[in-house]
Parts: sequence; structure tokens; C-alpha cells
Amino acid sequence: MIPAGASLDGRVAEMRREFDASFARPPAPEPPPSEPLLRFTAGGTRFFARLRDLSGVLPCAVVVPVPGARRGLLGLTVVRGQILPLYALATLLELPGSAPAPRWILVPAGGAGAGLGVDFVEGASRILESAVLEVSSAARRDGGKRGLLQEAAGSRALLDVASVVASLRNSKQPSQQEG
Amino acid sequence: MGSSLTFGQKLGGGFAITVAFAALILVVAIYALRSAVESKDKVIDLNARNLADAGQLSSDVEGASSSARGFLLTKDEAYIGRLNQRRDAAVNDLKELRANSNTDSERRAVAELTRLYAGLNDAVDKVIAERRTAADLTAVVKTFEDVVQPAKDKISLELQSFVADQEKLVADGKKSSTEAASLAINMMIAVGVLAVVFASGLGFLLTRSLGTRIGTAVNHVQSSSAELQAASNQQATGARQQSSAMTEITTTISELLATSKQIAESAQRVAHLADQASGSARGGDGAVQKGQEAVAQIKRQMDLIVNHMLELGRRSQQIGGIAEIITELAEQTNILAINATIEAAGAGEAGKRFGVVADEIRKLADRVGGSAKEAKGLIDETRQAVNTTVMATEGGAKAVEAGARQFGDVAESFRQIAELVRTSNEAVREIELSTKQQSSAVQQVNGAVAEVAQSSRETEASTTQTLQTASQLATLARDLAQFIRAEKAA
Repeated sequence: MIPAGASLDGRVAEMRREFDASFARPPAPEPPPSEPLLRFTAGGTRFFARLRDLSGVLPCAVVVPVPGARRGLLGLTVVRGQILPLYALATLLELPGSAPAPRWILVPAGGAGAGLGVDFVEGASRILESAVLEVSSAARRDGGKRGLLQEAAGSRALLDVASVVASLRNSKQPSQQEG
Repeated sequence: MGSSLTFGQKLGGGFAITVAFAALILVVAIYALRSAVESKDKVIDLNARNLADAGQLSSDVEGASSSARGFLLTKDEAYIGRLNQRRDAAVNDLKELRANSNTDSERRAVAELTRLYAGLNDAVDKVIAERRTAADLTAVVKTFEDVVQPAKDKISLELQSFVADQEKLVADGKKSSTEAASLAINMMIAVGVLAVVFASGLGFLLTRSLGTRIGTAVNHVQSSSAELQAASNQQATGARQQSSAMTEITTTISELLATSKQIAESAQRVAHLADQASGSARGGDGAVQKGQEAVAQIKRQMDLIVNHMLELGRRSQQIGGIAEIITELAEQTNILAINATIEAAGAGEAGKRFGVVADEIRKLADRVGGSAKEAKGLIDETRQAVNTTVMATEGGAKAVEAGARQFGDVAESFRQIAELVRTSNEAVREIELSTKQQSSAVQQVNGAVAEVAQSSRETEASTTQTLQTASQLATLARDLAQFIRAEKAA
């Protein structure tokens, strides 16, 4: 642990020592079953998302607006050579406040055919399954939330990416039928 | 008597006229007395003597005749001697008569007597000679009867006539003297009456004029006395107020004198302090010049520090750029690790070990990113500190520059202060001298005020005395007015 008030040289030395020590440490025992989660921010609200619900996290490079786009559709973008519609996750979750232009794109797993724009990707963490608190079904429907995680800075919602993608599909079908 | 003349002139004129009358009386008296005396002297000295000499001559003639008769009878020579003695006395008597003769008639009478007496002597000598020679006495008697006796009778007649004339002259002299004395008495009586009348009139006029004037003057004196009393009362009140005011002024001037002395002492101390301040100002001027040089050196050092700090800022900015690149690389690495984790999870059991490595890479990327953020924060802090330091240094440089200017101003101010202190020192010395002169003047004023106060007290006393005198004068004026009215009534 690097002390907060240490000098820069001391910090560098400590980091180098820990980096070197990491190779010398024996393999850690089998950790308890945990789930890798992505920490990100959308519309000023912090969320978790299961990495297994995603197929990729990419920076948002170019977004081409689409005339007459539905609510939450920012435009079209290119992800790994494939053209995908990019939706603003904060708008889809109906979060209060104006959502800034997304910097990152969450690509749902399973060939959802859409990207979710988020504000900021903080990183990834492993969270025990037992740490996830279940939320009510009404909250799960309204916000696409599957649970809550208690952190030191407060609670953070666990985003149900599959339900968000399902809601997108459900909202597309009437238009396709109409088309 | 004219009313334009003063009472003194009138009184002097009256006395002069009275004295003139007295002198006139004296002159008249002297004239009358002299006339009477002259008449008396003439009677006594001339006529009476002539009478006596005539009587003596008659006696001598009778004696000589008797002596001649005795010789004729006795033929005794002793009678001749007696005869000669009588003859000598008779000659002397004639000389006296001749000498005392003043009138022609007297001188003619004396000449006749001399001639008759010579004839008598010749007749006597002839008889005596005959007696000596002749024996007959009868013839001698007859000769005597015929010659001597007629000559003797003639002389007697002439003497009687002379005596009658002299007696007549004596009577005339007496009468003349009496008339002169009477005239003098009458003149003196007339002049005396005139003098008495004039003196009475003059006294009446002077008394009436004096009464009128004194009455008027008494009225004036009464009114003036009343006014003088009122004025004296006011003057006494004023003198008392002036005396009390002078006492207060004396006290105030004493305090002023003490204050002046304190001011003089303070001025001396201020002069001493001004000398010290002048020396300090000169020393301060030199110190300010040294300080100005030091400030210029500090300004140069500050410029150098500013340049170094700006260079440090630029280097920090470059480091910040590098840190941002590192942060971006860490983020991209993290994203790559996340994607690798996702791919590993998608690969199932085969990607499990790859997922562990990806997870380690992600952790490392997280730590690098965190460290890069910390480094960036430190760099930002450093840049902010540098900026703050640069701003502070620039502000310090400006402050130093302003300080240099202020030092210049301070140096100029010190020079002005030194000049002002020198001027103030001169002014303080002038104040000290003026204060000493003022103190001396105040002492003189104090003495003068003390004299004035003494004069005020004396004035008060004299005013009281004047008031008493005015009261006495008013009383005297009333008494005099009553006296005059009483005199007029009388």
C-alpha cells in the first residue's frame, strides 16, 4: 500500500517493488467465485455491468446522426467493421438531467445489433456474487436494474444489459411490423 | 463797571482807585503841611529872629548909652570897655538883621538903623572926647542932650518901626499858615468824602457782583459736585472692577508666563530632538540608498527566479503532456484488458488463464492509470504551484519594482524630511528665541499689569477720596449758597 503523503520517488519505488514482488509471489489460492464487472457512468449515475453481458468496450470515435431518429438513438457508428446504431444509455434509462456526448460504447453480447453510449468507463472489478443485493421487480423493469452493490461511496446499480437490449428489440418490433 | 471784566480785575480796579484816592489825600496833606510848616518856619526863623535881634539891638544900644553915661558921670574907663563891648554886640546884631532881611523894606530899614547907629556912635565918641578934655560937666551934659539923645531917639524910633513891621509880618505869616492849613484840611476832607463815597459805591457794586457771581458759581459747584459724585461713584465702581480684572489678568499673565517658560523648555527639547531627527534623517537617507541597491539586486534575482520558474512551468507542462499520454495509454490498456477479459470469458475454459493474465494486465493498467492520474495531479499541483509561484514572483518582482520606486520616493522623502527637519529646527530655534522674548515681554507685561493694578487700587482709593471731597464740596456749596442768600436777605 502506497502512503498518500509519500514523495513521488517513494511512490515510484514502491510501485516498482510491488510490481517485482508480484512475480515472486506464489500463485494465490483459488479465490471464491466472483464475477468480473465493468464500472462506468451514464447520465451522471454510476453503474456496474457484467463483462459476460458485453462483447466489447470501445471508444466512441465517429457518430453519424440519423434524421428522424427515435428517442435515445444518437446515430450510427462503426464497431469492429460493423455499422451499429448507438443509443444513449442514460436516455434509455430515463435518467434525469441532460446526458453529455458519450465517450465510450458498450457492445452487448449475443449480437444485439446496437451499442450503448456511456459517459465514462472507470474500470473493471471482480465482485462476489453475494455482494449483489436484489432489487424489486418493479425497479428491475423500470431501470433495467438487476441489483445493487454497496460500495464505500454509496450504492451502485448493476445494469441488466440483456433487459436493456430486450427493451430495444421490443421497441423495434412495432416499427418493423409497421414497415 | 463793565460786566466783561473779571471779578479780580474789578476788585483790583477798585483797590487801585481807592489807593489813588489815598495817595491824593496824602499828597494834599503833605502839600498843606509843607505850606503850614513853611509859613511857620518863615515866621519863626525870620520874623521872630528879626524881632529878637531888634530887641537885642535895642538892649545893646541902651547898654552902650548907659556905659557912655557912666563914663560921662564918673569918667571911669571901665565904662569905655563896657561901651565897646556893647558896640560890638550891636554891630553883630545889625549883621544878623542884615543877613535875615528878605524884603527891600527890611533891607532899607536895616541900612537906616546902621546909618543911625553910626551917627549915634559918632555923637557918643564926640561927647566922650569932650568929657575927657572939658572940665565943665554941664557943657558935656548939654552936648549929650543935644547930640546923643536925638540920635538915640531916632534909633529907638527906627527900631520901633522895624519891630512893628516884623510883628505885622509875623501876624501875616500866622494868618497865611492858618489859611494853608485850613485849605489842606478842607481838601483832605473833600478828598476823604469823595474816597468814602467811591469806596462805598465800589463796595456795593463789588458785593452785588460778587454775590451774583458766587451764587452762579455755587450753583455750578452744586451741579458739578453732584455730577462729580455720580462720576466718582461710577469711577469707583469701574476702579474696583478694573482692580479685580487686573488681579485676574495678573493671575492669567502669571499662568501665561509659566506656560511660556514651559513652551521655551519644550522648544529646547524639540530643537534637540530636531537635531537628532536631522541626523537620523541623514543616516536614513544613506540606509535607504543601500536598501535601494539591495532592492535592485533582489529585483534582478527575482527576474532570474521568474525565468527559472517559467522554465519549470514549461517543463511541468511537458511532463503533464507525457502523463496524459501515459494516462491515455493506461486507459486504452485497461480497455484492452477489459476486452481481453470479455474475450477470455467468451472463450470459456480455454480463455480462463488468458483471462487471468488479462485481469492482471487490467489491474496493472488500473494502477498505472491511477499512478498516472496521481502524477498528473502532482504535475498539475506543481504547475499550479509554479503558476502561483510565478504569479507571486511576478507580483514580488512588481512589488520589488514598486518597492524600488518606493525606496526612491522614500529616499526623496528622506531628503525632504531632512530639509523639513532642518527647516523645522530653524523654526524651532526661532520659536525658542521668540518664546524667550515672549517670556521676557510677558514678565514686563506682568510688571506693568502689577503697576496698573496698583494704580487701579490707588485710583480706587483716590476715587473714594474724590467722592468724599465731592460730598464735602457739595456741603460747602450748600453752606455758601445759604450764606449768600442770608447776606442778600440781610
